[in-house]
Amino acid sequence: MTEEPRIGVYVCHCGFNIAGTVDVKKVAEFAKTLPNVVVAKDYVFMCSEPGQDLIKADIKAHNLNRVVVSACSPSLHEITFRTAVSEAGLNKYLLEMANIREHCSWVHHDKEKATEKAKEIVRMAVAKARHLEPLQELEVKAETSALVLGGGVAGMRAALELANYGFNVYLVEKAPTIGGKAALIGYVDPKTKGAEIVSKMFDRVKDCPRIQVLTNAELIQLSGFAGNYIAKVRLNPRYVNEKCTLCGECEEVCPIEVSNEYNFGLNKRKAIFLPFSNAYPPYYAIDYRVCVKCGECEKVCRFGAISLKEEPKVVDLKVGSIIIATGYDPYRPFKGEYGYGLHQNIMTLFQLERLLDPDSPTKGELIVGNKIPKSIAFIQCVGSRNTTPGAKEYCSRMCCTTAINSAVKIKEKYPDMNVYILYKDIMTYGSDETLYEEAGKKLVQFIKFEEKIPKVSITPEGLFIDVFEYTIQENLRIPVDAIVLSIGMLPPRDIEELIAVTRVSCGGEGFVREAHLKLAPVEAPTKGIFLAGCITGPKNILESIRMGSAAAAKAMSLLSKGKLTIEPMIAQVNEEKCSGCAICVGVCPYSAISIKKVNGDRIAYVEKALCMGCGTCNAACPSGAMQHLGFKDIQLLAQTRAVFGGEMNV
Amino acid sequence: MSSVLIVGGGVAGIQAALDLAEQGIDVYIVDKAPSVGGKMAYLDKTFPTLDCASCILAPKMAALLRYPNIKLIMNSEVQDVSGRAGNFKVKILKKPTYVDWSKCNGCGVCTEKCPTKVPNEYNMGLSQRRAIYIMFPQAVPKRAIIDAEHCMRLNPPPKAKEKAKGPLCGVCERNCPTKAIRYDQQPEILELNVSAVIVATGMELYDPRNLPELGYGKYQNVYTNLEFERLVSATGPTNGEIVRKSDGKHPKKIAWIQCVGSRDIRFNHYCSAYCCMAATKQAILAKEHLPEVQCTVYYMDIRAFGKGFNEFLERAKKEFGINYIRGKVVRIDEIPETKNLKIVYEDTAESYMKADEYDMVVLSVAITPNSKLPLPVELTKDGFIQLKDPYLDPVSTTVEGIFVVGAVAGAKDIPDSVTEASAAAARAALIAKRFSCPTPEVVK
Repeated sequence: MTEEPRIGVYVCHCGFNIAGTVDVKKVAEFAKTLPNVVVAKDYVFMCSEPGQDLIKADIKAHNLNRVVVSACSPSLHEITFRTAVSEAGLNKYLLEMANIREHCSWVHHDKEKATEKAKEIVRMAVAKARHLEPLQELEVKAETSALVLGGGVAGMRAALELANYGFNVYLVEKAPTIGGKAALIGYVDPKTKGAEIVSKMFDRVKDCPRIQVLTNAELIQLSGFAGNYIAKVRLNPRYVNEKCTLCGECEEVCPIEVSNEYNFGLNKRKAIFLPFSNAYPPYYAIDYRVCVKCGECEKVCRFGAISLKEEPKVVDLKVGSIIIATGYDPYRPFKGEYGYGLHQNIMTLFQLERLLDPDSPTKGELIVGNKIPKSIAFIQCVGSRNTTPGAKEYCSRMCCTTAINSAVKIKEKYPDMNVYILYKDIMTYGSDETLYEEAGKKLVQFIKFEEKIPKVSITPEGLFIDVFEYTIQENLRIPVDAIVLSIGMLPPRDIEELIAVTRVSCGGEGFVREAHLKLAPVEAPTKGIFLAGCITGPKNILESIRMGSAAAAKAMSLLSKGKLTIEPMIAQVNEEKCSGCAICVGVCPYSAISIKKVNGDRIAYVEKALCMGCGTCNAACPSGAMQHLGFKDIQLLAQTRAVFGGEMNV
Repeated sequence: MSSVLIVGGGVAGIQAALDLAEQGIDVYIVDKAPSVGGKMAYLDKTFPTLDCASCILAPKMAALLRYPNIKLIMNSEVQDVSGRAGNFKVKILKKPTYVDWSKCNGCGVCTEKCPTKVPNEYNMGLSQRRAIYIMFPQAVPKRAIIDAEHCMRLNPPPKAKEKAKGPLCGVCERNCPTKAIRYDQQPEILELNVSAVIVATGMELYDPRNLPELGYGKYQNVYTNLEFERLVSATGPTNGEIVRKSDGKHPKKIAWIQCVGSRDIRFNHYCSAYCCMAATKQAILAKEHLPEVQCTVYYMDIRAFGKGFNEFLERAKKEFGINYIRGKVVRIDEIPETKNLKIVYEDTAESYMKADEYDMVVLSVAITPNSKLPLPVELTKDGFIQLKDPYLDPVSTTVEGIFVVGAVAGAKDIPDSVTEASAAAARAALIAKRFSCPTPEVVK
């Protein structure tokens, strides 16, 4: 702007909040002496209707082209005053707030000194205001459709919510079936089977034409920004189509056998297989990673459902938001950890959950080593709370309740079985405590250990656990027939790829970091990316489901209008000064900057919709080419000079 | 576009309101207090990040004012809800504030001039406020309210009333720069039509006087954890100075007693879920304020289940030297001369009785749900609001269109409450926008 600045300064009393400590009249008088200040006034409540009207009237009467409001924090009323000045016909970014409440009156007692400080704050604001420029907000059209990554309970819930709201959803799942881990948990509470819940959710997903389920699919590239993402998704071949009738003949002829991950390795499956009886989509799938393409299955299939010629495909999906719900991996005990892998009667909690599922290889019977054990012991905190070597520091949250739930189930079915739970602290928080009580009543025996962890011995006489019982301070040697390791949760194996593609970040514990741990638990720091379920850390099934709904709500709020407004206070490149060194590209946390060739010169380019206005590039730029609109060097330097009492007319 | 009623303006209610309002849906927040903020507004800092509670909550509270489609109905109670999903009729009792809030601008002049001092609930009675007051400095809306029971004008002492010829006092009315005082304000009944209701009424703290063996209310230096929170807060009664009620001195040894009223078959069976980490946080804050102080936490099981919780616990032990004793406190005796407190407890590690002396004791009290509401919802045997089918219909009560979030549906911490709030916003939005499961435009 070339015209001479004409500044109005408005000093607020905020009742006694400011006027009680700062002599506001003196501050207003002082403001009048500053260069380019045409008018300065004080008023009891600037944010009130009359206060705002006063500013609007002055803008017109004095032909003001900059306004300084000296009042509270901009986080409180900047929007109020921006609206007021724009109603008077001024660009709303020609407003500067001088915070003399939180930064001054509220933190000082000495009226004289506080008044001097308030004057300096106003002087700084005026110095900056003289260099303010009008800025324009950008509005971009936004897609409402969403990409949900991960077809577990959290992802399905999010997809259902969004679809019911009217958004189209691509539900992308790496495995050949949706359902996630919950589908494999025998009982999620004493009355509810995991398979039942997911089955009911499948029915709803099936009935929702707005949800397109893409199984055997993975996100391989993501470009664009909130409201306008292009997601490249690779569809790996399934080799089996919807003609499949689940007759199972293919499975019988398939020569390849591998460990069945859907039973956590309790049995084997073929290369062509059905993950579980109620899998969705309800067709067999060929594991493309192990199939040798011998063609036996294709030959035997009477329905023409198998085609080994299928090739991987890559599709581009236009979406407005991404919900990441890719879950967790169970902790992998190393061979020999509490005897794991050395004895068939030592299993993980997940394997036990499979055994207790009526759809399991043992039809829900707790059969280990060909017979029903007379005693079973759970060891808690395997892989969690720094308990075992190689354990994580965090608590995995779900293992105590899951173990106790299983113990109760076992006691119901086999009342004479001795059931022990060896624990550090029982984490049945909230209403889960009732389950702990129930287990006590059913005579599940709880044995507490502390620093010294239990020792499992495999002897010809059977399995023994040696443990120092903390509450009686004695060493115990417990003979048991079976041992269950209550393993915790790990970030999913492929989290590195997820990070590389979506550019979310991880906390020290390895899970994805939220925008704010307490108040923005389902948002990633990048606009348009939301988080649900265990990808942010251990959770139980109910919590994951609720997170699915919550993440959907955030996507709805962001995109329901079909357009997005982009704040103009972002980075801007002075192309003449830019040397194309690309330092800014490396420091940008949002990947908003790239290097482009303009007339043969390398120039930094800022994607406006991606820039979050953090200012990092601005600070890093060695040539001063990168400027932050609203916080340009010239504006900040003027402010800095002003605070040190320097000459304002430089 | 139809509207949604949110009962309770704590952090969960605020979050649900913001999520709905952003979609253009009209929202009413009803709260019995004169400001939104709920229990979080009482907190100094939050675990496990040690974020200043006010610094993260206040911007959300202020954001409510930026949406013209959010209406705050404060100092009010829901009296009746009838009808069904898509068309609920709600009756709200708007109790008099005796101040015209369309005129009041929260300047606070009245609250300085008012001659009557009463215990300040916001500081758990540890400081005083006037009969006309603003709930706390960051209140939203920031408006004055007269506590009629203690107001000289509205409830004059009988003797003074006899003597006086006309109405008494009137100081606030005379001093109000915007002429907002209305001594004759009457209760009002508001009637609203809404499509969905979100219940976010949160919790109350269990009264530890039900455990007389702990001496709360009898011994001056036994505090509840919320009282301690105010004590340690910069906006609290002592500006953040931790001092004993009995002699105003800094404590040298503080004990926290966990599970007061929780996990106790005499009182509440459930675990209150927040208290282990809250005590850990308070012990750390005590150490930050008074580096020499010794802090001990008496617990049954340490419940460090949330994100960052166990790491926080480890930090408390290693970095701050907080002492944790697995023990059940049997009774507290006051030592009359020093007003110190002797804790008698069963050390469950060694299975015998021990005793130790402290100069301040903080009780980590249970939470109880604020669920006595005139709503047709069902309750669990513990008094929390019953969920219909949390697996398939998350955050739904047994009544279609009425959702429940936060601690009134079960003890929980801030992030879980905030997550549920957004979940309820999603579900209520579906009803408000009347998008029943879909029709056209199938994705290809």
